[in-house]
This record gives sequence, structure tokens and C-alpha cells, in this order.
Amino acid sequence: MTGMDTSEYRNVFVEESREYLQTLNRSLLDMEHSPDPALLNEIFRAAHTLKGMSATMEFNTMAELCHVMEDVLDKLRNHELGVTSGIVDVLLNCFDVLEAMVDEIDRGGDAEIDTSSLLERLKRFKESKETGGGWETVESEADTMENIREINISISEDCQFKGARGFLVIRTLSGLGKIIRTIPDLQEIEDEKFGPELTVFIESVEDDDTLKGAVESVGDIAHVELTTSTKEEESIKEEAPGKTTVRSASSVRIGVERLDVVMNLVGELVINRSRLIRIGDKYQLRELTETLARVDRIITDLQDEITQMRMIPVDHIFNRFPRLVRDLGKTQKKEIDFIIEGSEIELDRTVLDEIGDPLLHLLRNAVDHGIESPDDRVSKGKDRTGTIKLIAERERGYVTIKVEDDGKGIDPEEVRNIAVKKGFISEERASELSDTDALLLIFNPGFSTAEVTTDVSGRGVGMDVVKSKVESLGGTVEIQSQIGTGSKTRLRLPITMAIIQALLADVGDMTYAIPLSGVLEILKINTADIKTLRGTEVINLRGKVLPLVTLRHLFGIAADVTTESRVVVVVEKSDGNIGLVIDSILDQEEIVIKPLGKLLEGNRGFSGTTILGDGRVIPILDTTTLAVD
Amino acid sequence: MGKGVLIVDDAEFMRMLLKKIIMSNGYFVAGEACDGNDAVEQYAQLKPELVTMDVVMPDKDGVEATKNIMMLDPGAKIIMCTAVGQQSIVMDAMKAGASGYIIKPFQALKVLEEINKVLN
Repeated sequence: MTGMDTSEYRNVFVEESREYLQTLNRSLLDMEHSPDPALLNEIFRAAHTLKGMSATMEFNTMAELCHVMEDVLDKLRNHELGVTSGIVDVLLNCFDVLEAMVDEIDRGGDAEIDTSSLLERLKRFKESKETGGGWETVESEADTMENIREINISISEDCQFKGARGFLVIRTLSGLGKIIRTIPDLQEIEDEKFGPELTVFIESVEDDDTLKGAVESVGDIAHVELTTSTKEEESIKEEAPGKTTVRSASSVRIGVERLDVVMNLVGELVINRSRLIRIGDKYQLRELTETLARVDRIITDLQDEITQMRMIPVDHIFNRFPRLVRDLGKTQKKEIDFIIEGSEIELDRTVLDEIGDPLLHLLRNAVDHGIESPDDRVSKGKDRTGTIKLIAERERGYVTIKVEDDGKGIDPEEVRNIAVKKGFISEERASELSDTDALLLIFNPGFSTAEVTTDVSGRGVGMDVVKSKVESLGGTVEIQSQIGTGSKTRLRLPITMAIIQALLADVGDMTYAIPLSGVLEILKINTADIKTLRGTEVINLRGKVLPLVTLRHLFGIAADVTTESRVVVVVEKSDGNIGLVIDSILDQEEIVIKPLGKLLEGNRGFSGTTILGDGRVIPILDTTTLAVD
Repeated sequence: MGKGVLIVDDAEFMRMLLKKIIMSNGYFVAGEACDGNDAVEQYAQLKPELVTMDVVMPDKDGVEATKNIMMLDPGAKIIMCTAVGQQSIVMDAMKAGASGYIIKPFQALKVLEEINKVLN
């Protein structure tokens, strides 16, 4: 390094590199199916940009790898090489290594990963159809680096359509050399998201006057300045804060932690709003109440706005799946068409972070146990190529994510047999279960074993993990399957989980919050209505048996003998509804979820705590893990 | 003496205006076209050294005509005649191969500056 502190550019470098890497990954996978020249160009551009960026940051191994990739890609582009699965494999390996490098850079390393074998393989492709001419060494790349010129261009203030002028400048220059990078980037220039100045780094053998003249041949150019930059100089110039061109930024990158902090503060506001409302009510302060009504609206807007900011398209986790499905399919010699729909649908970051692994499980299952081998499929009269779909859809306060395959489906009879063998259920009860209900058995913890995965279609793998994860997020899981035609798993997830509607329930002298999303209805009953069936307390709800969980029992509080009346909150669970017996409902309120903290984490029955308007801290019941004893 | 300028605009008034500006400065007008199709045909015949191309025209618009002309002659020099607010169309035209643009209402000085730049 040249003694320059580039650390503050690392974050930007890492973030941008990841974006390019995702483009690279996606386009590579698409290209394998249809070698569209546009895709190839996109891949080439991504590799090229990464090269420029990493060279600037002096991550030389990374730059070298990109450079060699670029050469191979160029051959593909010029049809000197054909797009084969072999080449795509090597390029995907390059992607893996580049990703690992970026990860290491993110951790503060310099990404000196050994790339010699990968480079060898790339070179073999590169040389495979090369007609004469030597392998362009990386040294020569370093030489040409010295021909990099930095051109600072100011566009006149009165120019209309600066974007078009910027575009013309870049198009003109690209005829005279290789554009390494531009500040701002091409897209931003086209969108006119820049001040009057732009900077172009170009690798060109033309002299300064020619370059300058070329820029000046475009209208509305106020000023052009050229500097030859050697490698070191380039990084200095680009990174010295005083030197960077003034950009009118229309977007800023904010760390997620900061958003979390803001969300927390809004949460505090929500809590204190309730407190103020109470004070206003207590002292009958009309002016305060009126002002509060306005503050209330503002806080609601603020809350909506922050919630929006926390939303990320599901593409952020979906984009790694095409590769997974491809690789899994390839090792198992299965032909799979993987279709993603609705990747633009947005979810709260916290929810999104949590569902990556469950989805991975589901997709892995679909490939491993859903899709049959091509020969099997043909013999069953199906298309050789199986289809797996990953679909995100928005519905009111929820987002559903579906994983569908057209494989062999799950046999409910097999599921019944295994459940009986494992002692989850008696043979008698198993035979009473409908096929749909029988499928639910696979959500039982411990259902999945190696034996199961080979015997049955094998959806047992970690399905209990999937279920508990989704339910802990306040969502639900459903599974549908038809033997021979395939399976569908549907995850229903709340869009956000930071602020929710909840019932405040009194039990003894404590108050508990019950998330409203899971509540079906609230009943008033008498203790005389409660019957005991096989040791479980139940009531008859419109002809159906509803098992009860008496919270006083659960929390070790003596039963209330002063009154016969009880309140039952009926909550929905994937394995049947249950009734929570409480003393009374205090209120319905918007609450802010605070995590339990390390000490209480993993405590079944509670999903977090919240602070009430009067300052009390109360636990939030996790109705999905409350079980009938 | 060059091969002159082809003026393309559906409004006669605009053509007159441009013609006056262009001729007052030593260039000559090779032809006039009043829509995109006409423009492409005339370009093929006249091979002018420069085209001023209106964007919004009946039948074939200026961006399409630009694409056609660029196909006939990748070296063609085309200046788009646009109005304020047509940002995205201008961008499309540049991507189609246009070399510059002028903005209505025309200022003679600006128009000539652009023509000079594009031709040199």
C-alpha cells in the first residue's frame, strides 16, 4: 500500500463487490441454459468492474483472477470458445473464490487466497483454441496499468440532460481505449444522478490531446482535465477525500444496526405515547389530548416509514438458491428447472434473515427426495426435467413463500407407518387420520432419520426445525402432496415483527401479551363448562373438543376460587387450536417486541417482552410453543 | 463544401427556423423530411453529413428513425431536436446512436455550437 488508509472505502468496496458477484452468479446460471450474448456481456462487465475495483484497492490476487476470467469471457463473447457446462463450472468456482475473497476483505483481511489451480484451469480454456500469440501475463497487465489516465470532466451548469452528455462522453472515450471505471458509475450517469462533474479512468494508448479533444467534441463540456495515473497514484487520487468529485447523492447506504437503533427509538416513542395518553385521560387535559392526537398520527407515519426502510426484497436470500439447486441436481444427476417468482416481494430484514435456512431445507428436500431421476420420470410418463418453483406472494399483512416440486410426492401411508413405528401415535389413531392430517406428522421432532429419508419421500429432514423457526416468527407452515405429481410447502410469514397488535391478558396479578395474529376468538365460560378428557382439560366448542391450557396452572398460581367465570382465548396452532384460560382481558394494544436477551433465550412459551404505557415490563406469550400437558 | 444537412421535423415552422440558422452560417441544407420514414429514405439517397432529427413525429418517431439510419450508416451523425423534460427519450436516442442534441426553443448559438462539435 502507499500508506493510504483505504479502510473507510472497504465497506463500499465490499458491498458493491457483492452486488457484482450476485450479478455474476445469476447470469452464469442463466447462461448455462441459454447462452444469450446479453448475459455474457453482463458477466463480462461484472468481472471487468470487479477487476478495476480490486486493482484500485490493491487486492492484486483478486484483480488477477478477474483479469484471467475476463480473458476467458472475452473468448466466449467472440465465439472462440463455446459455452459448455465445464466452462460454467470453472467460472462458478471463480465466483466462489471471489466471494470468499470479498468475505475475507470484509473481515479486514487482504484476500490473498491461493488461486493457482483455478488460474491453471482458466488458462487451459483460454489456450484451448488459441491461435498463436502468447499468454498475456499479469506483468503485462501491470504495465498497461500505467497507461491509465484519469479524466475529470465538468459539464456546464446550464446543460439540460446532463445524463445524455455524460453518456456521450463515455461513448466517445470508449472508442479510444478501455474504460476502467467511472465516477459515478454508468447507471448513475444515465439516470443523471451526479453533480456537474464526472471522472473517467481510461486505459488508452492515445495521447492526452486526443483524449481531451474527444471529450471536448461533446457539447456542454465546461472543463476537461487529464492526469496520467500510475497504479499507486490512481488509488491515491481516487481515495483522497478532497479529490473526489462532488456528487449529489440521491441515496445513502446505512448500516442495518443503525436502522435497528432507529426502530428501537420509534418503539420507545410508541410506548411513551401510550403513557402520555393515559396522563391526558387521567387529568382530563383537553389540550394535551388534542396535541397527542396529532403526535399520534406522526408517530404512526414514522413507524410505517421505518418499517418500510427495513424491508428488503426476498431476492436477497433467493439469489443464492439457483446455484444450490443446480449443484445438488448436478451431483445427483437430476435434471431440474428451477423457477423463482416474486423475488421483488419485500419482507422485514429480521424475518428474512431467519427464513434462509428453512428455505434451504425445503429446497434440498425437493431436490433430494422430490424430483426423480430423469429415467424414472420418463418411465412414469413425465417430462425428463423436473421443475422446482420458489414463489413469494404478498397477501395483506403476510407474505407467503411456496416451494413446489413436480416430483414423486409424499405417501401418507408411509408417513402413518413410520409415525406408528416411532411411537408418535397409536395405530388406531393413525388410521383415523385423513391423508392431509397424516402429512402433518412429519413435523414431529425426531420424525426424520436416515431411515425415513430413504424409505419415504424423505421430507422428514429437519421439517420440525422448519416449522418451529417459522412459528417463532409468527408464521405458519402447510404442506400438500399428491403421490406421483409432487409436493407443495407453503410458509406464511408476517411482513414485520417489530411492532405488533396484542391482547393484554391478566393472569393472577401479572399481565401477559398475546399476539393478536394467532388469536381466533375470545370466549367467556364458566368453570362448570370445563370437562376432563383423558387427563386434559377441554371444553366443547360448537361440537368440537378444544383442549385448554390454564395459564394459572402453567405459571404455578393458585386457581381463582372467588369467581366461576373464566376467559378463554382461542389460538391457532398448526397441530390444532387450543384455548388459553386467563382471568380477564385488560386491553388490546400495539406493542413493541423486545428480545428476551441471552439469559432467557430458548425459554419455551415466551417470545419476548414488551413495555407497557405505564412502564411495566411484561412477557409476550409464544402461543405456538405452549402445549397442552 | 460538404454534403449538407438533412432537416427532419413534422412542423414546417421548425424546419424553416432550423434552415435559417443553419444556412446563415455557411452550411447548406441537403433536404427536408417531415416524418421518420421520409427521413430514412432521404438519408439513403442524399447521404448528408448531418441530420437534425425531431423526436416526436407521426408514424415513425425520431428514435426509431435514428436506429434505422445508424443501421444504414454506422458513421451517421445525428443531432436530436428535443424539448425540456424529454430526458429518457434523449437517453434512448443517444443509445440508438445519436451524436448530440439541441433543445427547443432553439438558440441559434447553441445550435451552431452543437453542429460544429458533432461535425469536427
